[in-house]
Amino acid sequence: MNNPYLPIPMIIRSITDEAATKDIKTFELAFLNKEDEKNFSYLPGQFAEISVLGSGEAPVGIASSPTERGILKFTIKWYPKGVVTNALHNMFAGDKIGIRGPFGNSFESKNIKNRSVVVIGGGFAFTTLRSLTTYMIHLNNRSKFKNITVIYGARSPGDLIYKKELEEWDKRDDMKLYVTVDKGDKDWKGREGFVPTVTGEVKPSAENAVAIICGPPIMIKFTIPKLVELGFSPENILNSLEMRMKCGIGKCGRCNIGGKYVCKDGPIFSLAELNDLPKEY
Amino acid sequence: MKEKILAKKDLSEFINKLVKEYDVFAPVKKDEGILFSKIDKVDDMCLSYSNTKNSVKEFLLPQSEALFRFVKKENSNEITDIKKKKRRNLLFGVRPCDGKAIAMLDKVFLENIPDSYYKNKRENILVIGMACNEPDQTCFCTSVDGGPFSTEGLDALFVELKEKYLIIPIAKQCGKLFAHLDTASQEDINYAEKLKKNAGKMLKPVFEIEGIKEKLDGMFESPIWETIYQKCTKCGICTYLCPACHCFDVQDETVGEKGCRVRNWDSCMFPKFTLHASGHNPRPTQRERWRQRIMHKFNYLKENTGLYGCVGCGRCVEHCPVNLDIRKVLKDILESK
Amino acid sequence: MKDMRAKKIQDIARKLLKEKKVDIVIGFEKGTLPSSATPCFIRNPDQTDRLIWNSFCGNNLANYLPKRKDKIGIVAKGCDSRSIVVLIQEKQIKREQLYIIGVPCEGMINKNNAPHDYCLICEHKNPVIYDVLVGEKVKESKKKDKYKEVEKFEKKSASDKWKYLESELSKCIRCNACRNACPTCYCKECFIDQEKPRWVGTTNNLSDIIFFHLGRIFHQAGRCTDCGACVRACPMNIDFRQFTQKITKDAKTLFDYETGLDIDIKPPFTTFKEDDKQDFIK
Repeated sequence: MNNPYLPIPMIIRSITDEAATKDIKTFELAFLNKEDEKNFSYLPGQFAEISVLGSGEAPVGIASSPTERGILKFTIKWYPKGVVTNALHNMFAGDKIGIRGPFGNSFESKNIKNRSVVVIGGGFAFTTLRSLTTYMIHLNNRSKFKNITVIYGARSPGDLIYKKELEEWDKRDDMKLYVTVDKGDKDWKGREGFVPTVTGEVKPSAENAVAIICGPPIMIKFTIPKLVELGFSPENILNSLEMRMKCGIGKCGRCNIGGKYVCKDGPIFSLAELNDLPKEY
Repeated sequence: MKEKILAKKDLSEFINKLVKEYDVFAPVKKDEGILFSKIDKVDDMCLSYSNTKNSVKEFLLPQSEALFRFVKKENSNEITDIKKKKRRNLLFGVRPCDGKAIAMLDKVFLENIPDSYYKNKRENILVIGMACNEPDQTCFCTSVDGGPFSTEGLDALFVELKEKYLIIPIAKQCGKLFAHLDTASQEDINYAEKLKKNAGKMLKPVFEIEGIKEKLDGMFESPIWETIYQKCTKCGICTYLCPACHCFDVQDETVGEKGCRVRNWDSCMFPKFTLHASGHNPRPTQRERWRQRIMHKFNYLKENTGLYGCVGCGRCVEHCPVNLDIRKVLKDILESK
Repeated sequence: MKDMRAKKIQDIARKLLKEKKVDIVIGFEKGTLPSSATPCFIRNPDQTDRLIWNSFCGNNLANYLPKRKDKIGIVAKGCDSRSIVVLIQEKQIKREQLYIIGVPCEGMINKNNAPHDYCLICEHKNPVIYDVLVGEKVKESKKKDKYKEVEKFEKKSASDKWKYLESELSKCIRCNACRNACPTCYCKECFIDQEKPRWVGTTNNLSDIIFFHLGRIFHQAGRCTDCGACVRACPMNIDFRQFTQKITKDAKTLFDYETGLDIDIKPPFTTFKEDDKQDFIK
């Protein structure tokens, strides 16, 4: 019988700095066993527990899209008190780590196909949104979605992550991309403004559309009213939540919000679902 | 399977036979109190007990359990899964409340993605219960959908009659344990029924639990949580002695390049239980943590498994150092507006 | 006599709350089990008749003081009052926040109606610090054989001591009740909860258990008042007092210090004197 607590062995292929502050890195991992690679089938929105033997595990959203074959990407921020994130940020390409997963539900499980998708991200929280966007615009999937709008903002130009992807997406004509910073620097030629404000300016249509927001609580707090104004109902506004996790499979009892476990019943919840749950997150 | 009879004078032989085939755990008198421990012969056992101090959950979910061992090497990491025990365990003298807790733990650990460690232990254990003829004054199983003669979660139930035990076999695999014993007479069965009624009478209902889940649905922001938690010292006695509490933590232990990943009991009463690495804690004070304890046991678990997370064993009531009595908490909740 | 003391405590509490001299009164009320009392927190002057005083009021209420910001009326026996002194010395609570309702204590009894061991050798039955005293002071007496058990332990060989330590502490279930019931264990992050670095795991492995208890007990040197909160809280009947008494005896013999008698005396572990004994440095 499969033991859900055994990590799958992986190797770090490359580590890329994403932010000027050097505390956010993208780890590109490859499977050490082909069999594991075949069995690991995931969808955007899901997460995995990254296992560092001797340090522990940390739940991280999968930043790569399943269309990017053979590798998995995780973008991980360093926290002063984080045992695992500290260990990871001291690693190099070629080091071996483990993952367990994929865990959680996906964006697709919340009825986003054949609809327009508005992706709104802030700062470092853009990780699973990168997975979703890359997935949606892929040749095999593009026809499954209608209009794709991506609004992404960060505090400053140095805090924007996935700069390469943003450049590529900007060139495409099958999606609209709006990048903004709270405050630019002398080299910044792009938009300036908070994400909620920009959302109000962009005015994405709510017709047969779903909005997905991931970002700091304050960004979410001010963006939701803008979306409601534009006609998005609570069932059509999706959020990805975070909690302290250990088992990742709904046994250890720590990541619950009300009767729902963020690892098992989430991490994707609609605003309508969150309104029914206690405000304990 | 028919009810059987075992004379008290034959208990010794019965137990000694079991000890040959199983690792038998039964109530044993120790300095710390009466604990479920391994026995080699019937004299090790102490059957004049209302309940053991520790519950039997540790035989399915040990307090500390290695998940796997590892060795970090230059070119690879070696991970070794823990070998599963070959010999079967037998628990003798489990009270029906602890049995009911097992039924609830089964739903948590075996449904959806099964927990392979729990599953292995669960498949290799026999749980023999002992009905409660004289419930303790801190017992309240009947107030939480249980009973002193309940068979939920048990593989067989012993009832102490005058000079003999009535045995009610429940699980099929128990059949061969009692096959050689005499069948119980109708008189024996009637006497057991009488004992059951008497025991039920001794357990005065503390509160009416029907409807508590629905009541709690609307109580997340109730002012009642402001005062309930005040005297709680945030220790883990209630959690660790509770037969139904099952939250755990996972830690890596290493010496040099070798180590193992272990899981240890944890408690939602501890402040760091939900602390994020970023420093954010969705349950920053004991107010939120006590709310979680009550909600988990009487609302969330009821919704997700159909069973309450409390079996009325009374251990937390007896051992809480500040007498934070969960029966009083529930009474206050049910009586609140 | 006891009834009158309960009434006096109620009257004092009612007056304090009515006159808004305190925000909250922490005392004892009737427990839900026979032979029990339980801590209670009262903010409403109309609720003060819940307060009681009897021989079951064993909890050390000073445990609820560290880091509080409000004004508190607190019921305190002799040992509790000494813990309050320690907390004030260590700046965990300000003297001005407290209105101490001191109650001279003749000893508390346990569930089996026997006096607690620590009450039998108590030399400070009267509160050492208080704003009002409830009832007459009781006669104090020096207990010559107060360290009798510790001296027996000290005479054991090192390996016998270790064997005793192992056998006693192996009963531990890591519930942390001893630590949490102790008024002078108030660290924001206890050393056993630290993850960076992780000094000790949360397993029930004997080495983790011993590390925890030895660490915690050494932290009590010069700070423990032998109030018995730890032994009363422990569900497994572990006798910590063999170890805490030893530490307390050492504080007396090495530094001539007795815990919690005077706010103005500096505790030994916050001071260094040139004539401090150094013979333990080998």
